[in-house]
Amino acid sequence: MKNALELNNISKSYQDGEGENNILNNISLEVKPGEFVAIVGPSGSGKSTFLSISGALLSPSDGSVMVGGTELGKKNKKKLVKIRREKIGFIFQSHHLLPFLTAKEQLTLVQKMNKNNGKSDLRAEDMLADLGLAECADKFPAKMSGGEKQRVAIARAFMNDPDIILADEPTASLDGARGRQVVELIKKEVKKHQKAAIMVTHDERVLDLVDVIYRLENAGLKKVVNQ
Amino acid sequence: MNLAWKEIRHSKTKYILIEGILILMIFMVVFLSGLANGLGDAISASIDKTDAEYFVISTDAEKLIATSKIDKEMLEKTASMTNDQVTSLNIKRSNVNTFKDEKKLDITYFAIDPNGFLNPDITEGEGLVNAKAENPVVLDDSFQEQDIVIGDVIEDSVTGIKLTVVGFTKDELYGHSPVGFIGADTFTTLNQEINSSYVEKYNAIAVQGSDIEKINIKGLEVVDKATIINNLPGYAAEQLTIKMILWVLVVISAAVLGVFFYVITIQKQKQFGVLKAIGMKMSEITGYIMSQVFILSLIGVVIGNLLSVGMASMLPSSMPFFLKTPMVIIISVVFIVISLFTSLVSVRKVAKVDPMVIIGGNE
Repeated sequence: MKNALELNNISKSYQDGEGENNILNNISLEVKPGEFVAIVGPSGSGKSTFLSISGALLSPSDGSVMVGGTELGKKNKKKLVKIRREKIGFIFQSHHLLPFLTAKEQLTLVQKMNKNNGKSDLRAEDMLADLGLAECADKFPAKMSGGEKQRVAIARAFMNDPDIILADEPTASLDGARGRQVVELIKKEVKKHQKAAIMVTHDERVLDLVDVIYRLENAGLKKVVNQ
Repeated sequence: MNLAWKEIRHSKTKYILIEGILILMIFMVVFLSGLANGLGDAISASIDKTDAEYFVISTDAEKLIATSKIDKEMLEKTASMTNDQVTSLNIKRSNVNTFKDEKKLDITYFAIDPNGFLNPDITEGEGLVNAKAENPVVLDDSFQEQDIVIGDVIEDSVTGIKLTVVGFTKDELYGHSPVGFIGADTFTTLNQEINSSYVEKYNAIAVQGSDIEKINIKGLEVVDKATIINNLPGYAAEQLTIKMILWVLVVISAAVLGVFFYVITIQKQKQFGVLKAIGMKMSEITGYIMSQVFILSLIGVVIGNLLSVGMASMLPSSMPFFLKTPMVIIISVVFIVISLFTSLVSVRKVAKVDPMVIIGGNE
């Protein structure tokens, strides 16, 4: 099966004073549709950089990135925006919903943005119901609980029918039980819609829910478990 | 994109506060423009309202209509050089006494040909042309506040000649004093009382149309109405001062909106980061920001204008205040355009936001 995400020999370094600071060094990764991958690692290990490169927010110093069969490397900023719009679904550390839109409007916004490229026939109502958010449809984020907000954020990430879901510490702002529930929901949707997903986390308690675990340490990526 | 409106509706308090300041500033600007027009009219209304497009005056008057002198024969000479109607005009400041009390009242005589086109619109009584009384006068209706009614006799303070009030007109002002229209023959009578060798002379010859190319008389020049008004004593100085304050205020109020908006934009950097991360194009974000500024400035303009109009209807009639719709429209449009322009600063700020700020939490 075609890979949803392919990173080939990715390196990223920053100029740091006189020397160079290697954040990522020669990293490769392949994720297939329907596969749920976790990346763990201590803080400062480059997890954010890794996620930004995978999410077309940052260009690598070296190596190539393929999302849904499209090579990102040589694209300009405008093209990267289009890639993010059509092929990538983000779940951020804190929900980052727009405060002035209701749960349903958060989803339809993404849907409207993708209206013209023939993607996404998902219905916002179905998506909300699927995540147990039917009653929240007309609520603003300020009126929702932390878990509800993060679930809306999950729903939003799926609304553009992306090739890959990227989750940045989705449990960080939630307590243990709610955090687990959120990751369970991500897993459920990933399997249901056959999407590839990468979750960056240091919450060890949810690692049993993913298919593959990688550890990011000393600028390198190592496969830990293949569950 | 209705994101703009949804956000304004959601954060009502914040935007109502901004809107409040905007409305007050627009109100001030529009009100000032009313005052500028009112003051301008107090100087120039009677010239402005005439049907004349051009005035023939003597060259040595340097475009000052009241100091120009033209001999009587020039009227016919001018008439022969144009297909348009021409008529004579004399302007003279004076005082009149009423017989009811000892008060001396300011007046500016506009001495005209009763059959010519400079006759004012009569609001009460009759015009000079039908008047049977000796030395008839048509007064601006502000004299009615001095209890002068039709049929009253007033006395020219300088000469003691009695004038009979035959009619009233309205909004006729020149150099901050109300105007009384008299016939050219009455004007000659007045002058002969002071100087028995006076011969009929004019300040200006008014031309009704624009057929002026062939009017070419030595010592005389043809000047358009706007230039005549601009050269009335005090007019340019007053207008320039007030209009300068007015336009500076327009710019300041638009800049205030721009600054407010910039502060709000800085507060919302993360939000813009999210929009960029989920793939919103910069053009769409620009549209969102600009339409928000447009909505705010439009609401401010509409309410501010309504407030000014409402206020205008409550002002005492002695206050020189007059709202001119074209002027109000120009101010409103300029305000909105400058507001949109200042919002570009916010747009530029947002363009620089790196969507990466939201990855890795709140460091």
